[in-house]
Amino acid sequence: MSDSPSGDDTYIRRFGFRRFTGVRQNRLYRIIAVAWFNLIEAIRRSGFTKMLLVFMFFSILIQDVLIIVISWFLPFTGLPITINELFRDAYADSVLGMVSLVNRITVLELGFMPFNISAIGISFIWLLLMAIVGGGLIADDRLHQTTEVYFSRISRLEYTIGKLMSLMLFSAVVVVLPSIIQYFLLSYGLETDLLVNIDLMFWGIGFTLLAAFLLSLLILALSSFTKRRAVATLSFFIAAIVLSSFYSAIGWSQSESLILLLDFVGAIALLGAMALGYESLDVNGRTIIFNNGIGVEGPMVLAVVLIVLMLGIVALMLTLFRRDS
Amino acid sequence: MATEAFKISDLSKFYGPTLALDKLSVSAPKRAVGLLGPNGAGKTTLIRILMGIIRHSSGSGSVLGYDFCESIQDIRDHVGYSPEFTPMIPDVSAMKYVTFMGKLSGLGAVEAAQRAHDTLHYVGLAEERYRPLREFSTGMMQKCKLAAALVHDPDLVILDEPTDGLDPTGRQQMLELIERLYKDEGKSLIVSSHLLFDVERVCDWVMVLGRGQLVTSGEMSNLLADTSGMLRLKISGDPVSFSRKLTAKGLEVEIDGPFLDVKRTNGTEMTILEEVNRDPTVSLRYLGSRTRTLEDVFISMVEGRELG
Repeated sequence: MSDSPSGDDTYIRRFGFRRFTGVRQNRLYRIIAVAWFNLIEAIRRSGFTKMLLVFMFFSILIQDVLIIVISWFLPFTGLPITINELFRDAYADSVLGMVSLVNRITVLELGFMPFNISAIGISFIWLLLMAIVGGGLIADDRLHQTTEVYFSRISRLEYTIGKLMSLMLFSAVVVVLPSIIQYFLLSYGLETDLLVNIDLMFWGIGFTLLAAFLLSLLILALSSFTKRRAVATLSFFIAAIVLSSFYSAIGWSQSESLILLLDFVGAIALLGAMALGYESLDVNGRTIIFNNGIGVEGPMVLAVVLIVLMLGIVALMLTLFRRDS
Repeated sequence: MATEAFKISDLSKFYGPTLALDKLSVSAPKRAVGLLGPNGAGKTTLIRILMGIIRHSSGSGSVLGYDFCESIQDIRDHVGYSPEFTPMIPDVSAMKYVTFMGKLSGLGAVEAAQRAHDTLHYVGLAEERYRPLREFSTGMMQKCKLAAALVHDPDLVILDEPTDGLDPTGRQQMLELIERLYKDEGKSLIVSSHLLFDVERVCDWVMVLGRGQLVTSGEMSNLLADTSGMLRLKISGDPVSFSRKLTAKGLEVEIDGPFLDVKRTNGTEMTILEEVNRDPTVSLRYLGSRTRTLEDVFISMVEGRELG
């Protein structure tokens, strides 16, 4: 063939070095490239992560099916609340359950326990997945010195947002999407009007995104402190579980014990309930009232969440944004 | 369009109390520039500042005409950088890695993948492009780094120790690639290397740093040109007896191994040629200006030794 390359050099000359004449993509594109690449690679290289994802998928599936089955077979006659109120409580409870670890935070009355089981286990798997995926996001880059090539192409802020976005994308699939699906399934099961409670769905999206953002920030901050992904992963997971356990281990004698505030993951759930207008809820079966002037109060919960936010930001500023080393 | 690859003025950089760059002012043309200096001279610090990876303490400057305080993103888009060490994502193939680097530089997904293919072919990793980076040898990784630096078609390519850790064959291939980039593709280059021979081979402009300050910069040919005013002569035959004959003619002669270095005055060349013609046991092999190697220049400038 006359037009086929006659040798390696011909091939190189023909395909080897073309001038780039196109238009460069904007900054957002590059951030998304960082997020997508890191997310896919983090999942791809870990068999355990894939296994957990499959497990989580089935957990969510079973829970969603359970919601419909319970809704169909429970006799909802003679309830002290309307079906619509039950729907709102049950949905809020399910979503809050996704962000409750050791302490079971629920807005449901005890009489409606069947709905209460819906989110058990998901928060653990989600946290573990976040720790595994997020633990290496910056630590691996520091270990393999990949940060140098990132920072020679994008800014540190873009890098950080990209990494944060990869965990947010991950959480979007693992908790935000299920929370949306649950809204429709529960509405279908209880035969409520979808549009009447649409604010609840947006709350569900906002709340899960907020939780995802805060936890992503924390795990990234830990990851930026070390070159060993295992250190970041374990320290995040263990800290979350241990701090969450104090209330049930030590503070059980007082229902409004301030020890509950050590559970920073639970504090996010408490804030979520407050945002939805709940003035009280049950933690491990004990009632917490946000504005009674005793123990855990609304502003304290907000302060804990803000402290978590500040800790994450300061830690990242100290490590990633220090441009003299 | 800027005529300089980069230009800096009073650039200083402190790492805590340690001064890495000391009010450095220099400009480099858009050619193949060799950046030389002993360990700790500030070469890598300078490169990292030019790329916006670290912040300078004081001073100003521009790369390809873009101010590196105001237009660092433009600089990053138009400069390709291959760092001294080996940054990598072990489980990722060279193809994925280079494609990703292209995307980070603003190439669309399809364009990035196509250009990754092209550049990996160009550097000689066509066959290995789908192998994970953890399986790459040092030489292959150096080529992969070069491909990543080239994927977005930069105007200026900064190579920090591009032949570090390579065997002679790999080094030869890398130097050929760098030469082709400059001569065939018209890329401006900044090559930082400890290996003076490498710089001497591929660069035509040299910048020497020492203790964070500029020692010298200029055309390679000027730098290597001998200023001692000596002629270098090589003959077949006995150089010692021939040097005596030249001395008898009033010339100042020094013997340097197989060479004779003769102090140049009016008519020196003619005198030498006459003596060569007169002596049947001698034939002329070389007559010309005494030249220096980059190593001679480097040692004399950085270490303060006088050349012979």
